[in-house]
Amino acid sequence: MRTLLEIRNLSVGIERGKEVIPAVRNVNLDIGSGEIVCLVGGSGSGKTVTSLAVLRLIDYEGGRITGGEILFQEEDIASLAQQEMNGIRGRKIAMVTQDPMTALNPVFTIGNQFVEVIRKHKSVSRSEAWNEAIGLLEKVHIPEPASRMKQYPLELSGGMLQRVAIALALACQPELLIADEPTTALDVTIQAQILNLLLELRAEEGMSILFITHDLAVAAEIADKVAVMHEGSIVEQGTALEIFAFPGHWYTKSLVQSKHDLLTSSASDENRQDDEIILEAEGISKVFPLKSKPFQPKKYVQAVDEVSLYIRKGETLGLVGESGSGKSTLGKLLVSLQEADSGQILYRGKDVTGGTKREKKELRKNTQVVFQDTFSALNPRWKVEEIIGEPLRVHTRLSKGEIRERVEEVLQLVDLDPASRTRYPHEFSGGQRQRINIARAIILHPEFLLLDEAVSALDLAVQSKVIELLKKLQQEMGLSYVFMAHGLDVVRDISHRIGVMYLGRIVEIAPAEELFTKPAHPYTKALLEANPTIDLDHKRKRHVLHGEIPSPVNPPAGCHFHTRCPLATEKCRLEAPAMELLIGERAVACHYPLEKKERVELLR
Amino acid sequence: MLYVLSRFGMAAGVILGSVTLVFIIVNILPGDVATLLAGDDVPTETVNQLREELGLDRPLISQYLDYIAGLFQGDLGTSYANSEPVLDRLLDNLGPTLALTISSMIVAIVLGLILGILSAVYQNKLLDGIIRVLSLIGVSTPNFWIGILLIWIFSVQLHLLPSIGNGSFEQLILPSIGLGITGAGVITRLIRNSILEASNEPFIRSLRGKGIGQRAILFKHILRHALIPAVTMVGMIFGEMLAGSVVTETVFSRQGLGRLIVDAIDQKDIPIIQGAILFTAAFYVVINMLVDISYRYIDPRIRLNEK
Repeated sequence: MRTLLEIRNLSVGIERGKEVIPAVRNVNLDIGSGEIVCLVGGSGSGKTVTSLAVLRLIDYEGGRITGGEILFQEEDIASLAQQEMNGIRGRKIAMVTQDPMTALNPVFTIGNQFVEVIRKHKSVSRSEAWNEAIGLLEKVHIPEPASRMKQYPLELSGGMLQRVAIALALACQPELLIADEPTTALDVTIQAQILNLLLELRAEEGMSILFITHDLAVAAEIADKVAVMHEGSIVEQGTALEIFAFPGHWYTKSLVQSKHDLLTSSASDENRQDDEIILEAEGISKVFPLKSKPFQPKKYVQAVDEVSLYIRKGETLGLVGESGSGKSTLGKLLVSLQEADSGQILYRGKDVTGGTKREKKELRKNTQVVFQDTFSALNPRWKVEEIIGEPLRVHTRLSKGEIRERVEEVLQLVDLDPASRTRYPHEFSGGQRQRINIARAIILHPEFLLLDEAVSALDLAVQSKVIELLKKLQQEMGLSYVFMAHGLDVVRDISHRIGVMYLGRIVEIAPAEELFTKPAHPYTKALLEANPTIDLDHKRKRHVLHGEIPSPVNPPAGCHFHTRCPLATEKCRLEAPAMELLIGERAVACHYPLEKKERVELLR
Repeated sequence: MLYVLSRFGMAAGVILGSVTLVFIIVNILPGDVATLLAGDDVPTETVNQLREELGLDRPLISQYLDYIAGLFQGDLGTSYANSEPVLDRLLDNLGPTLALTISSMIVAIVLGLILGILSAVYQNKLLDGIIRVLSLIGVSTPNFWIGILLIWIFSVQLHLLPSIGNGSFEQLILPSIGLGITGAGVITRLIRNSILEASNEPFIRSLRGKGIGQRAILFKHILRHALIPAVTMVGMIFGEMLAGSVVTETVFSRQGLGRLIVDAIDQKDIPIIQGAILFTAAFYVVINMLVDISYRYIDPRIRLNEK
């Protein structure tokens, strides 16, 4: 195999005022033609800086290459002028970024963005470029490409846009594709589709891919070769098998270990403290009206559709499902941040829907929320003690001294230094800020915590520490959680029971281990199979769920899932299956639950 | 289409509201019109007679309703001062004011765009510093003072341009600069900031990654984003220019709506005041309506979000 890109002793510095802070040190990396190399590491490890240096985009972002060579087809591009780089970028080396929603200019149509790039690098007419673009969209399996060309980016879903972004990168048949976390912002099912697409394109076009990810499992799915970055250096590199089966460096070991820990331990093995039911929902529904034109029937989004569930004291109920499945809305209904349109929410057996202001306040005291974005959840102009102490000022009549005492106590409980109470949110890391959020949520000794993607924005290592903390608090305080995350492994790790949501309905609910080992709903099975794993034996055998989650404005009749289900029959198209208890605590809403082996085979 | 219609409805509401407000204000101000018009040393009967002739003895509400009814027929009343129809006097003065505001607007937009772009491109360099100081001066200096300064430099010292009057193009230059310079400062600062902000959008990185050159990125992609807040600002600056024209027209001894209002207030010529305010409000509303409608063509997101 010919070597396409050779990075030799690359060092990159970021300019901060007059200083140059080293961000990447002595990186050596080879990419052969047709090879997929994964750069793995936590945030701030220098992965993205390295990739920007290869494209020489780092020059525009306050950085500069301080040493080393970047040999692309035996030419050192580290010293080329930007003018010359413009002939290489997009033509020979192309890039796909993380968030497809922001990667395209929102004010131009998809078609215009293709035409601009194609005509920059090839001398073709506008209509030739337009037709070429349609071909590219076909290549990435976008349905009705001709009409997509005339649409604006915000009219497409995230998964579709990432396909568009990939097609745009392929416009000039580049030899190297740099993909920076291209699937991180997507659902697991869509992630699996995009990973398959990249593998397929590699096979067809023979291009090399430098794939950057923080997720070891994604790397295991796609990589030929893996390089692990930590604090600006590559600490270890080798074939995927070498890295995942026999990690050498301590950092790699800890990464692999924490991923394995997630898979082996599960909260459902541990004893629950109590059988007392804290929170219960009975057939709750929520619809949101859409803006509509006059003289046309009003349209509604059915966000939550007749959901019933219960949460015991000291129990964690996990919720999984693609975005748009209604998880977040369900969570908000449970803690009365939004009113349900119908159905009941029972807190300790008492109906709390439509209560008075005072009842609501009492309920808020006992049901608290932690969200995903650690920064925007904290007032940047308040000190930590003011933030954490605020619930006490609202709900109790404690004196200043008593509040300070409680704040210090609770800071200790979340493993933060009590002295840090006088600092401001921006002085903390993401993981620490989430601890502050948790501290504020538990200071009133609530019984129930809604954790809406509470660990999703954190690095793997930090994430597992926050999970540990949540488990510890649950043990000590008997807290009940509803936990939502798009990473299935985390949900499995922390949850006693897991509910799977699809288009506003819960389609399956079961103890965590049982759900993962013996899924009963075809959708659950598809989700699990889409979930990337570092277990190399299972690599690339998965069944990929076709298409995307349908619009909740016009959900399919009968079983919502029938449009994507390989087992669907006439009955599924006509009749919505009711939730039925299988055994113990397992319930599923499916006409053909997957218990028999042949159904499993059929699915394959 | 529905959007445009609803904008028209709102515009009509704003105009009616401002007419009503002005009607109330001029009528509760101290000073009796009839006494003022009749002059000193006139017997009370004459004043009363005059009051009756002008219809000022009727209750305010019926005066108001008559006035509104007149508006719908294109009748803005007659001037108290010289009995000319108000509409004619307004139309006579409209042309010079329009010429002044439009040319000031051109000064503001052209200067603002050029300086704003230069300032952003040379961010934190010497040129940027100079432009930022200049735009700050422009924003914070009252335009009558700039006007006086311009007259002193270009007319008194250099004898380059005429300082007063209207009619020729040369006579328009100094007033337009004087009135436009505040707007230019505001636009410069806004364009600079929004260019710098748009440069940090992730899609700009993607575009560079596709080999698109700096210049194309700036003029095609960044500028289009930067224009959205600037267009809003243009609508607001227009309002300030109308207000500023009152002073500028006085400083440069120009004919125009601004001067007309000032004179009318001196004479308590209520129909003229009301008519001039009506014109100004209508102007302002129409410009801002155009601004609102133009967004939808600059930024398709606004159009699509309504679907």
